[in-house]
Amino acid sequence: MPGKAQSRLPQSGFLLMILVIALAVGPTVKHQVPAALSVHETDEPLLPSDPPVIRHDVYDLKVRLTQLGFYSGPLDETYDVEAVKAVRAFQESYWLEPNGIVDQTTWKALAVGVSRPAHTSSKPLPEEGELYLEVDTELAELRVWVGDTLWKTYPVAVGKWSTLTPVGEWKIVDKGYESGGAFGTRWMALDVPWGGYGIHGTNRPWSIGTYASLGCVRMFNEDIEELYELVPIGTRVIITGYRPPLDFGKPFGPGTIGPEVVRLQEALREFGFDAGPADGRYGPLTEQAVQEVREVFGLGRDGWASRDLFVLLQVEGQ
Amino acid sequence: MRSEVAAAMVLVVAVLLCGCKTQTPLPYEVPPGDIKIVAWDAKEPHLPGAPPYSELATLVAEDYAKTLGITVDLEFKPRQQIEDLLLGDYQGEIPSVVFSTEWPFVGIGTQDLTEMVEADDYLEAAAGFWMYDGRLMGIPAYVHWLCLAKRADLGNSSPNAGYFIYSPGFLHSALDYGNLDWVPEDICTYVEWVKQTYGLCQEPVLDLWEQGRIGMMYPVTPHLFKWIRLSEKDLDTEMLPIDNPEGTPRFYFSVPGYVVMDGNEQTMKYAVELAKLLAANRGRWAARAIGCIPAYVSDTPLFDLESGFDRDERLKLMSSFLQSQARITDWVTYSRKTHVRLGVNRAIEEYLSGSVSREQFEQRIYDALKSHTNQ
Repeated sequence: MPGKAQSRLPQSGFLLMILVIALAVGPTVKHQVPAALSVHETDEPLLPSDPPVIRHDVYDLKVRLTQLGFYSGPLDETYDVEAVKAVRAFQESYWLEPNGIVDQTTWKALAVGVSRPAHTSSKPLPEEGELYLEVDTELAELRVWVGDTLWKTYPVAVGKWSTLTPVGEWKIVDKGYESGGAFGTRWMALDVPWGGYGIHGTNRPWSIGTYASLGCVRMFNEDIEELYELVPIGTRVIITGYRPPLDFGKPFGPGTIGPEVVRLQEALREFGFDAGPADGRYGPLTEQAVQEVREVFGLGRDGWASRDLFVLLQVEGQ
Repeated sequence: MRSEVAAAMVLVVAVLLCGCKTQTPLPYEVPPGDIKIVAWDAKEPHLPGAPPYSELATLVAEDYAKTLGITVDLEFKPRQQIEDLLLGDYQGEIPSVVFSTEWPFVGIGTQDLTEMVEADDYLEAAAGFWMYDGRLMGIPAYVHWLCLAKRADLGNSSPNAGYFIYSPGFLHSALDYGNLDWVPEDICTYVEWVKQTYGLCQEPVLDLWEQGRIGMMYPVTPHLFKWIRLSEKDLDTEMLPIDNPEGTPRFYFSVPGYVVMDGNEQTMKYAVELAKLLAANRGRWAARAIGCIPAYVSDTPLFDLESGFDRDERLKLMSSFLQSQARITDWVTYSRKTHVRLGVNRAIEEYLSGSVSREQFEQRIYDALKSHTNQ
C-alpha cells in the first residue's frame, strides 16, 4: 500500500507542474492578429523623420502629450517637429532616453496615471439567456447583455468621424492574446465583410471614452481580459450609432456587401420582413425579403433593391 | 347510513352536472384525438397605427389550438413559396390551410368548401369571387384593389403618370376584364396606348412622385396607397380607377382568402374552422391597416369606421367592387398569364423606355409568347 502511494506522488507532481506552466504561459501565448485586423494598429516604433511620418497613432500621441502639458499644436496624424520635441521633453521628464522614438516603453510611460473607472455593475452573470454584446458608438459604451438583462457596461473608444466603427450585427469569428502593444492583451475579430474590425485592448488607455480608433473598439486591458473569458467565438455583437454617408443612388442586389446593405436589412426588418441579421451581406434572406416587400407594394417581384424600394423604405436620412 | 351517503353523492354529482351545463359551450366540437394542423400564412408590412399582422394571426391560431386542445402550427412563408405550393411545385409536407396571397387562383389540391362554409356570412361578391364551377374553393378574407393615384395638389400641371411595368397589375388591370385579352395584338395595343397616354417610362416612380415631377402613378396597391397617405404631408392624393385603351376606367379587384388543402375526413373540419378565423382576422387587419373591404359581412362596419377613407372613397370602392364581376381563375389560366407576363415584361420595358422601335417591340412580344405559351 505505501509503495502504491509513493508511486503516485511523482505523477501528481508532474501534472501539477504542467498545470502551473500552462497557467503561466497560457495568457502570453500569441495567436496572431488576423491580417485584416492588423492593418488598423501597429507596434512598430514611431521614428522622427523628414518628411514626417503620418500615422494614425500620432493622433493618440498628440492627445496624450496635450493632456500632460507637453504639446499645444494641432491634433492630427503627422509626427512633425513639434511633436518630436514634445516627445523628447516627455521622455526626459520620465528618465527615458530623449530620442523622440515612440516605442513600447514610451507608450507605457504615457499611460501612467490613466485609471480605469469603476464598473457600473458587479452583479453575477445571469445563467439563462443568450449572451451578446452591444456597442453604442454615440456613448462609447460596450454593454454585455444576457437575454433581456443588461449585465455590465464598459467604456470603450470607437472610430473617429473619418473612420467610423461599422454599424451592424456581427459575430466574433476569432480571438487571441497579445503582449500588451497596440492591441493590448486580448483581441476578438468581427466578421465585418468590408474590412478588418475587432474589439481589443490598447496601450493608449487615455483614448477610452472618445472617438479615436480606425473603427475598432478599444477597451482597457483589464476589461478586455474579463470580457474575453466570457465571450466565445460566435457571440453576436450589435453595433449601433453613427454611420458614414450612405449611397442609395444606384440599385444593388444579391452578392452586394456594404453599409448600405446593413441599412437596407434594418429597414426591411422595421417594415416587418425578416432579412436575417443586419450583417451587410445581400444573401438569400435579404433577397427574399426584398421580393416580398416589392410584391406587396406592387413594385414587381424581383430581388433587387432599387431606388423605388429605397424611397419606400425611407432608408436615407437615418 | 349507506343510503344517506349514496344520496349525498348523487346530489353532489347532480350539482356538478348542473354546474357544467351553465358553462358556455365550446364553439367547436372537441376533436377525438391528437390533431395537428399546419397553416401557411404570409407576412404583412408594419405600418404606423396598425397592429403587427403576424402577432394577431399567431394569437388567433394559439387561441384556437388552446380552445380545442389541438396543435396548430402557423408558419409565415414567402409569397413565392405559397404560389409554388398552389401550383404543385412544392416538395414537402402539404399544409392544411394556406393564405392565397394577393393574386389568388384555385390551386392544385384546393378543397371544395361548399358544404362546410356558409357563403352568406361573406359579402356576396367576395364569396362569388371564390366560386369556381359552382363550388366554393376558398374562404374570402378581404377585397384587394388596385387604383391610379393622383396628386390633386398639382392640379393638371403634371399630367404625366409613372407606371410600374413589373407589377403584375400592370397587365392584369388592362387584360383581365373588358375586351382585351392576353394575346400579342392586345398586349401591343395596350402598351402603345400607355406610351401615347402617359409618355415614356420614367423611373424611379416613387422618387418622381415625391418630387412632384409626375402627378399620377399606377397600379397602386392598398399598401402603397396607405404608404402615400402616411408619408405625404400636405399632398391631397386621390384614388382613381385605372384607365385603359377602351376608355372604361376601372379599379382592379381580387379577393385574397384562405384555401384548405386537407381533405382528411377526420381533420378537415378543424382546418376549415381555423381558415375561417384566419380569414376574418386578416380581413379586419386589412380594413384597419390598408383600407380594404373585409369579406366577412359582420366586419363591414370596420371598413366604414377604420379604413381612413371618406364616405365618397368608400362608396367608390364598394360599388365598383360589387359591379366588377371579378372571378377567380384556375391554376392553368393563372400559370399561363404569369408566363405571358414574365415573357413580355422586358420587351415592354425596352419599348416604353424608348430603346426599341414599334416593329422591334411587336416582334419581341410575338417571340416571347411563342417561347412561353402555345399562342
